[in-house]
Order: sequence, then structure tokens, then C-alpha cells
Amino acid sequence: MDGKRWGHIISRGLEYVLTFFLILAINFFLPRVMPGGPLLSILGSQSSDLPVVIDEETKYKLMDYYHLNDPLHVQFIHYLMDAAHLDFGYSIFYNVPVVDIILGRLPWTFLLMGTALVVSTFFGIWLGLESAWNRGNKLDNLLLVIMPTLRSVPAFFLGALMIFLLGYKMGLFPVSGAVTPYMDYGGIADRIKDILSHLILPMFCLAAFEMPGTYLLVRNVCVQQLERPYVLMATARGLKDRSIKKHVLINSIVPAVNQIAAMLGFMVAGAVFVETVFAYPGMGMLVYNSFIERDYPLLQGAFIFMSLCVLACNYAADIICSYIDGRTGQE
Amino acid sequence: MHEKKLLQRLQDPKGLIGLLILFFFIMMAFLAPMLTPYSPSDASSQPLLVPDGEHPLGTDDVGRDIFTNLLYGSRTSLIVAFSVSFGVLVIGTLAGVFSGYVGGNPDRIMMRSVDIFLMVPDLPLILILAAYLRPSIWNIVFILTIMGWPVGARITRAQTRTLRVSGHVDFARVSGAKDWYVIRKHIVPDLYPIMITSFVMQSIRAILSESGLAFLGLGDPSYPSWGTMIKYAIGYPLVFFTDAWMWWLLPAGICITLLVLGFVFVGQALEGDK
Repeated sequence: MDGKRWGHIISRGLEYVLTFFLILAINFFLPRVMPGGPLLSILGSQSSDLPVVIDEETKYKLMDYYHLNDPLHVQFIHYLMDAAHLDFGYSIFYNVPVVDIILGRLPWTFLLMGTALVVSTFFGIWLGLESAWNRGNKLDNLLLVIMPTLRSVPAFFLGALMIFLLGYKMGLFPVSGAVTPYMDYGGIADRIKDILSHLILPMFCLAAFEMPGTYLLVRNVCVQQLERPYVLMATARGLKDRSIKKHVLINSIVPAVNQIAAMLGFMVAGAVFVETVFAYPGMGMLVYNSFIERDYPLLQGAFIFMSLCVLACNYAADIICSYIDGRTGQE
Repeated sequence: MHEKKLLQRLQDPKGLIGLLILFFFIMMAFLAPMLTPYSPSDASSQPLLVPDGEHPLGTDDVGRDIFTNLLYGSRTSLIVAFSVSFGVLVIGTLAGVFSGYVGGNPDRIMMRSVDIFLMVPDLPLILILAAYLRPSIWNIVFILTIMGWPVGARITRAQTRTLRVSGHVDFARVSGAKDWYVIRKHIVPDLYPIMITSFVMQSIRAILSESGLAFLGLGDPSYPSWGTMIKYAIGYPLVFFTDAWMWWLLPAGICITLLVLGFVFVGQALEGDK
């Protein structure tokens, strides 16, 4: 039993490693098959602010310097070695190593996405369960209109409205950045308060983006669970609603956790929009800015780090689920 | 038989509202030149006019009529939605039917790669692709199709697996029908309901992605897009200090939301209450 679980965990792990390898391969080959050639992705575009004009000889030297004249498989091995040392080159725009910039941005994104994920998962599961429990009633019908509507609002539009109504009109929250620039903090409490007040709008915006998916999923799973004989049995025995709901919830948690993890890649897209609108200095805004600046090394480095985080979270979800659900690996 | 079933499902209030919304936007896209005297790129009016008889929604910061852009925006959204859904439908169905019908190792490899594809965060990858390609509406359609087909393939494949072992398919095969004939006559027709649902889902994704990409500055300059309108509206520093947001920012956002909602309602009606 335990051996099977370990076998399952290890084989899933190998799949994730393979996936990550493929992502690295995509990153390696994209600049080489795209118009402009690989040198473009190191030195920047001809149409940027300072077009780099180089003659053939210099170009050859540069190609030599970056090992671009080697055969492709040698280049790929070089690339993998560099990636293993976290060396993803230099940002064209900031002229510092890509890794340094990314490491500075990651904590903000973790904070934003983490809190948004907790809020959206909590409300998604709660509302989903209540909706399934009251299936066909007023509450269910109402939620089945509200949630799709929420899903239809583009995240950037919702963000803009929040900035306008809550930030500007009512003046409740600061509307951009993650901290007040050049502020003198009286103490650690002041600092935390400042960070939280900046976090609250983008966090709710991202949570609103993520929640409808979780809600619909949990509702569907719970509706199926509620038709099971054990629920009928529990009702017949006169159990309280509360404890029946608890049983249903426990049985629905595994598919929910798996799906929420699988939707993380989708949430990254939400983070890009939300961070861009709120000028929140996380990975999403970094991706947007490096796209605007055509900062290829930074853009690709950010993609690799984000993929790595998403894969890691999926793996973590797999492991958690295999502990919650004893049947894993026994199919 | 299937068509009738689907039509019946569409007759609940949500489905009808959804169809009505879709009809409204399709009309808007077709009749755009008749409803407005301006062209969407015509920047000859006074900039930042308030709404009046000539400009029902005023003009933007470079003097384009906002109402005109709104009308033509529905064209862009619908073109992208239908092209992407169609592309995903074709590729996804081919891959899904192949994978589900053949089974065995090809199936396993195909589904593994689909899983991998679904896990990769797609927006950063789209931005990388877009950074190398030109901002054109067909590039956007191409990218969204490439990123979307795995979802279609997975759904089709699951249904094909079930059909593959069902009685009428076995019977046809025993009677000497060739694979191609079975797929054409007995598998694909039974996939129509799923294909329609998947078409609706892909349209939702395509509209939201297109407006999102346009908002991030990836829009095709020659196709007016609601996303681009929101981008410029927010980018204009005074939009929130005057009433301009009411006719500049709000209509575009509401249009995206409504159009997507139309598709969502139709999708919900098609799936029925689970």
C-alpha cells in the first residue's frame, strides 16, 4: 500500500521533470526558429530605442562569443548547463542578470497569488457546496447567474472599475504599487499595514477572477456526491445537515484540490492582467513590461520560473491528494 | 435526433437569453457600416468630445468616434472567436478521434503531451510567441488555436473511447466496415453535441484572450478591439477625473462581458443542469 503510493509519487515526479525539460526545450528552440535569429534575442530588437547596428565580422564574433556557431546539440547542452546554474543571461533593458530581477519579484507574486488563492478557494468551496445542497432553489439559481457573470468580466476591466470606484471615488485603498514609495515606517506594524492596504484590491480582483471556476467545479462534484447512497443513509439516520455536508465536502476535496492546482496556469494569466492594471511589482507585471520592452531573455526567464512554480504546486497537490485519498495508485 | 435534443435544451430561459445576446452582437458586426457614418480609424473629429447627436458616445483622445469603434470591435471579437473555435474544433477532433480510436501507445503518448500542454502557463508563452511575431489578428488566431486544441482533443478523445466499445460500432466492424467508414458514419456524428459545446467554450476563451491580448498591447492596429479601447481609456490620465469613463471605458467592458455571457448561457443551456 505505502510502496504503491511512493511508486505513484515518484512516477508523477518524473513526469513533471520531463515536462520541465520540454519547457526548457521550447525556450531554447523558439529564438532559433523565429524570424530575426537568436542574436536578436540576446541583443534586442533593431527597432528598439537604441538599434544595434553591427557589421558581419562583429556579428560573427558575437555569434562565436555566445556559442551560436556551434552545432545545435552542443548549444542545447550549453543551455541546459547554464540553466542548471540559474544563468538565464542578462536583461536587455535593466542590464543585470535575469535571475536577480526575478528573485526580487517572486515574493510579491507569491503574496498576491497565495492570498488570492486562499480567498477564492475558501469562497468557491463554501458557495459551491451550499449551491449543490440547495440545488434548484433560489440560492442555487442566483449563484448560477452571478458566477458566470463574474467569469465573463475581463480581469483588467474589473481591476479598472475597482481602482475607480473603491480607490479613487471612495479613496479607501491605494491603487498602485505594493508599498508607498519613500515612506518612513514607524515600525514593523506600519510596514505590514502599508503592504496589506496595497494588497487588498489586486487580491480581491484576482480572487474574483479565480473563484467562478472553483465554484462551478465544487458544485458539480458535490451534486454528484449528494446522489450517493451514503448521503441517503445519513439522512435516514437523522444526521444533522452540518455533518452530512462535512462528509460530502471531505469526499469532494480530492478532485477539487487537483483541479485548483491544474488551473494555476490559468491563474498566472489572471495575475499578469491584475498586476499590470494595479502596477503591482510581481512576476505578472515583469512579464508584461519585458514584453513591451521586447526584453527576450527576461521574458523567457520569467516564463521558465513561472512554469517551474506551477509545476511544483501541481506536484505538491498530487502528493497531498495521494495522502488524503488512500486509493491513489491502486487503479 | 441529436439536433432536436440540442434545440430542446436551448429552449430554457438562459439559452434563449444567450442566443438573443449572440444574435444582437452578430447583427452589430454585420450592420456596423450602416449604423455609423464614420470609419473606425477615422481620427478627423475633435478629440475628447462629450456624447451628442453626431457622436453617440463621444470621441477618444485622438478623435475617433467611440461608438464606431465599439461596433467594429464586435467584428474583431466574433472573427477571432469563430476562427479559433473552428481551428480548435478541426485539430482537436482529428487528434481526439485518432487518439481515442487507435488507443494503445499512440493514445498514451498523445494524452501525456496534452496533459503537459495544459499545465504550462499559457499567457507568458503567448507573449513570448507574440514578441517574436508581428501583431496581426491572424497571428493571434494562430497562437490561440495552437494553445487551445489540447482541450478539444481531450474531450473528443474521452467520448470516442466510449463510442469505440459501444454496440453499434462493434456491429458495424463485425459487418466488415472499414475504420474510416466507422469513424465517418458512427463516431463523428455522435460527437456533434460535444463539438458544439466545445465550440462555445473555445469561443469564450478566444474572446477573453483576444481582448486581454489587445489590452496588453498585442492588438492588430487595423482591427478595432474592445481590449484596445480599454487600454487607451485607462492609459489616458484624465479619464477618471471627468465623466469620460462612462462612455469610453464602460461600454467596451460591458460589451466584452455581455458577449462572453451570451456564450456562457448558451453553453450552460447545452450542457443542461448537471
